[in-house]
Amino acid sequence: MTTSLLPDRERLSDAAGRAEIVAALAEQVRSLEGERFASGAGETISTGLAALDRLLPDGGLRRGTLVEWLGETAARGSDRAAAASGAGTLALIAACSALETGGALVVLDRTRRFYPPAALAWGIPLERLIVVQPSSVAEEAWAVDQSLRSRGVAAVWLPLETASEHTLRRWQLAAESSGVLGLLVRGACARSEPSWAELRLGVQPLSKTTAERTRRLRVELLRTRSGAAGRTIEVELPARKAGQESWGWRGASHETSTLHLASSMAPATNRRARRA
Amino acid sequence: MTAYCPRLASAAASGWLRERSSGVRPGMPLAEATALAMRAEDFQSQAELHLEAADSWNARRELEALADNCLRFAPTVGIEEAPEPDSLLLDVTGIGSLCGGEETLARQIVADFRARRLTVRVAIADTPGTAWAMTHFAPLECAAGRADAAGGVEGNETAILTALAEPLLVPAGESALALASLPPAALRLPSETCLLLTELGIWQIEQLAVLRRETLLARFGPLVLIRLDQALGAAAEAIVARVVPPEWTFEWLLEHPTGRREMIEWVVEQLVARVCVALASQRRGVLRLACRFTPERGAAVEFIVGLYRPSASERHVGELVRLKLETVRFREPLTAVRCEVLALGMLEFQQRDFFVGNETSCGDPLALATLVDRLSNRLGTQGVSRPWLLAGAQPEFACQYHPVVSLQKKLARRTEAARGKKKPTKPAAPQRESRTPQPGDRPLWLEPEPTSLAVVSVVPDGPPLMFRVHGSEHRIAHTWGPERIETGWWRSRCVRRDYYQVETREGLRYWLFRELNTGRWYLHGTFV
Repeated sequence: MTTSLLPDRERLSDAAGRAEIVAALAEQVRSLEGERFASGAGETISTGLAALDRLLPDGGLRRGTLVEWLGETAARGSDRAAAASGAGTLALIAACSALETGGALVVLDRTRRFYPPAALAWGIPLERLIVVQPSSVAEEAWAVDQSLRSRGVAAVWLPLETASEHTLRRWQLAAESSGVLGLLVRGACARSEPSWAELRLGVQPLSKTTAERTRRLRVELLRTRSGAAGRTIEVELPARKAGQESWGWRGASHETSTLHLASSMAPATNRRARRA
Repeated sequence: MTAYCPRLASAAASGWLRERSSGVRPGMPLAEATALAMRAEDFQSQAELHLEAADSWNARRELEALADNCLRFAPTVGIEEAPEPDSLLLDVTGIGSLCGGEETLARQIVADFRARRLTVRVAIADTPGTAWAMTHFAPLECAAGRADAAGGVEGNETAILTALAEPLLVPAGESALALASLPPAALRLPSETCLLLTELGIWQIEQLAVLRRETLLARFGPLVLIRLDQALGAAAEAIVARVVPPEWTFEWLLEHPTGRREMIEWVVEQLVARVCVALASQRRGVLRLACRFTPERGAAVEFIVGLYRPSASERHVGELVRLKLETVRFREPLTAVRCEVLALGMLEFQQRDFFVGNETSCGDPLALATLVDRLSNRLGTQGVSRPWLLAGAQPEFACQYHPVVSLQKKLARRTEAARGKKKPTKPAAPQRESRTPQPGDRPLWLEPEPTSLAVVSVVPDGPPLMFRVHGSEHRIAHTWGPERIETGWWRSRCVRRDYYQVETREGLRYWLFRELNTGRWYLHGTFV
C-alpha cells in the first residue's frame, strides 16, 4: 500500500497518468474510510431515479453518509424562494428508496410545515414515518444526532437553514456509526459553506415550454469525495423510478396484469362530453 | 381465631332501613319492589322513586377496593365467597392488643368507613361464620327501643344508625350462645333449606343444634352440618386473602440536604438501578416511572418518564431520567428522592441473529423504540408523532398527528400485561386513506396558516398571472386548476376555495387558492 501511495515522477508529468493516480488514491482513501463504517453502512442504494443514479460516482447514495440537496433558482430573491425548487422532493424519493430494506424515516419539522399526504403520494409508507417537531434549533440538532445514531432508522430527512461545521461533523460521525442515510435539504446559500457531506447536489428547476404537469429539474453534482464534480443531468418529476416501469404500474407485467381485449365503450354524446 | 366481618350498606343507612321497613328484598321482581316502596308510608314525602340497574361487576370492584383499604387494619383480608358478596372478612387474631382492645379496633374501622360515607356493621367473633351471622341477623340495640333487624324497625333513623355502628363483640368461646337465638338463615343456608326448616318449626339455631346429626345429614344434605360446624368452630373455614399487587417505590432519604447536581444524579442512578433489578427478576419492565424530589422547603418537584416499550435496562431508563433531570432546576436543597413505577409490562425477549453483519443493520425495532423514548422524553410526547390521514377534503384537516408514545394505551394495557393473561398488543398501525393522492398533487410543505397574497390576474375569476410573496415577485408561466374545495359547513363557516398549482417562469412551483367568498388570494403550499 505504501508503494502505491508514492507515484513515480514520470507518470506525474503525464496528464493522463496524473488522473489515473488521483483516481487510484481516491479509491484507496475510500477503502480506508470504509473501515470506519458500521456493518450495513457504506452499502449503495438507489436515489429512486435511474438518471440520477447514473450521475453519482457510486451509482447511488451510500448508507451512513450525509447528502446535501441544495435548492437553487435562477431568480433573484431570498432562500425562501429557492425552497420551491423541488430539491426536497428529490430527497424524499431517495428516502423512499432507502426504506425498501426496512427501518423508519424520521422527518424533522421544526417549522410545522411538513405535509404527510404529499409524502404518502411519493411512496412513503405512513406507518414507517416518524415526524419530529422540535421547538428550537438546539433541540433540532440534538434530535437529528439521535436519529442518525439509531439503527432502527433508515433515513433522516430535514430542511436545514444553517448548521455549524461542528454540528455537521457530529452528524456525519453519527450516520457512519449506524448506517443511517442523512438527507439535508438546504438553500443555495449553503453552496459556499464547507461540508462534511459525502455528496452535495444542486437542484435547479427549469422553466418549461409545454403545459404538461411534469416537472423538469437540473441536478448538478456540486461536491463529492471522489472528486468527479461538476456533472449535470436533467430529471423529470413524476418520473420513471429506477427499477419501475412507470408510476402507477408498479410490478405489472405481461404475465400477471389484466389485459382488456374487448373494445372500449362508445364515446359519449357531444352534449355529455361538453358537460364533462 | 377471631374474625369480624363488616356489614356493608352500599348506599346509606336510610336506604337499608327503608328496605327493611318497606319489605323490599334482594332478588325481588322490580314491579313488586316498586309497588312495595310506593306503598310504604315514609315514601309519600319523596318526589319520585329512583331506580338504577344493578351492576354486580362494579359492585365487586368497589368491594375489592374497600378490601384493599382494610389491609391497614389486618394482614389478611378476604371477600365473602358468595354469588353476590356483601361482606369483608378480616383476620384480626392478636391485633386487638395493638390497638387498645378489639372494641377500639372495631370502632376505628366503623369511623374509617363513615369517612367514606358508608355505614357498616362490624362483628368480632371466633369464626367467620359467627361473625357473618351477627352482622346480618343480630338484633339492633336501639336507644329508642329494641328493633329486630330482620323485621320491623322502631325508633328514629339517627338512633338506628348509631345502633348499626355499634360493634358486636362475641367473647371467645361463646359462639354457640351468641348464635342460639338467631334464625337458621344466619348460617348462610340456601333459602329453600331455610323455608323447609321453618315449615318443620325450627325457628332458631339452638333448635337446629340439638337435633341428631344423622337426621340432619339425611334430610338436608351435608351443607347444614358444614355451616353449623363452621360457625361453631368445629370445621375449618379459610379466608381467601386478597393479593395486593406490590408497589414498586424506592426512596432515598438524604441525611444532609443537598443541592449538588452530581450527588442528585448519583442518587437517581442508584434508585433506577434498584427499580430495574427488582423488575427484571420478575421479567417485567418499566413503562412509566415517576421521580419525585422533595426539597427542604416548598413544593416537591415531580416528573414522569414514559417509555415506548417495557424496559428493565438500567442504562436506558437511567438515560431517560437523566434527560428529564437536565430540564429541572432545584431552588432548595433536597431531602429525599423517590422513584415510583406507575405502569409496567412484561419484558419482550428477542433472539439475536447468529450471523450478524450479513444483512443491513437498519430496521431494528428495539433501536427504534429506544430512539422514540429518548426523543419523546426530551421533546415531549407531542413532539414525536405519526401522521394519520383523515377523510377531510380541506387540506388542513386531511391529516392528524398522534404521539408515538401513547400513555393512555399503555395504562390500559398495564393490568393485562402485569397479570400475564394477555401479551400486550402492538400499537395499531395508522390507517391508510383509501384514496391516496397522486405524486405532485399536494405540496410537501403546507403553510400552518394560508398567507395572504397580492395577485394580478386578467379575468376576475381566472387564474393568476403574477403574485408577490416574501418580498419577491413571481411571474407565472403555467397554471393547473382550479381544484374546487367546498366543505366544512359543520365547522364555524363554510370553506369555498379554488386551488391552483402554479409554476413561475423560473420553474418554482406553489399551491395558491382563491377564497370564493371574498375573492382574495392565498399561498397555501410549496412544492419543495
